[in-house]
Amino acid sequence: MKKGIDCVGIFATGICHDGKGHILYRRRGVGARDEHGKWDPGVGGALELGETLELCLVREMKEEISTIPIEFEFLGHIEKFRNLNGIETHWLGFYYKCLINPHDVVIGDAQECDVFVWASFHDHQSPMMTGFENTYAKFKEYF
Amino acid sequence: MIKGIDFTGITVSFYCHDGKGEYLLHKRTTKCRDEHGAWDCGGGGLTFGETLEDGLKREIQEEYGTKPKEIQFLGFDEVFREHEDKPTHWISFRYRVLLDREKVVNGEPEKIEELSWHKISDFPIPLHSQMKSALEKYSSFLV
Repeated sequence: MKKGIDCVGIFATGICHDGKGHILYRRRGVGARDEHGKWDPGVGGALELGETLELCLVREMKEEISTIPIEFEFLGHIEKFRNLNGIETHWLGFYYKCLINPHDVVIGDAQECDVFVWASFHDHQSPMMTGFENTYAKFKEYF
Repeated sequence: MIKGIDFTGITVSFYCHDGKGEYLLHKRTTKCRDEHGAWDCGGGGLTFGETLEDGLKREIQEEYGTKPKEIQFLGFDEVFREHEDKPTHWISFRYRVLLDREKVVNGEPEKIEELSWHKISDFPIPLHSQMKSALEKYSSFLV
């Protein structure tokens, strides 16, 4: 039973900013679920059965960047339908804007993320994840 | 694998109105999964590969035999309950939907005993157990 392939996958993700106009972009490594080598503007992951979205967000941030938000606000949801290597996927994402302290960021798993940068949400890295243009269009006014 | 039990399920639920202040409810038969005899607004599970809006339209077509004239998204709720001693986990997307009252029919007589229209202040009892909190949460929209 694979999330996003056999059933609709659900994820919570935080677009993490430093309070000074920069967000955290991470490049997805070979250990990431999919989209290897693509830049991911969010820190998050799949919801577990029985877990609230906010707990999922905080758990994933701890796992991935070793810190949790100082404050966060819910931005909205996005439906993602992607064909990844010939497989149809279906995810429903819940997006949060998270203030974090950049000095606290430690990448938890180098296989999942090999490099990260801080840059404006309007200054995209290349290549971004599939469907990023929808995420950007929907949330650009918040940054 | 059972939706809502083995993995988090996504549902759409709809408050259908006639544009004149009356809302459509239906009485659940004993053939429904649960909440027998309770009055319900309507809803159902999202299927893999389907957008929320397409799921909403499909469920309204199945239950009430017609298409929405207007759709207003109200919000979503994380719902943790028990069904036959097993924990269940759903994320429910709520909508307010305008229907043409003349076109509404009972599309699922197996599951729907009776349809009727009511003002919010005059809803019949017993209501489906999930409706009370939703009615409170979205009371400013459900007029």
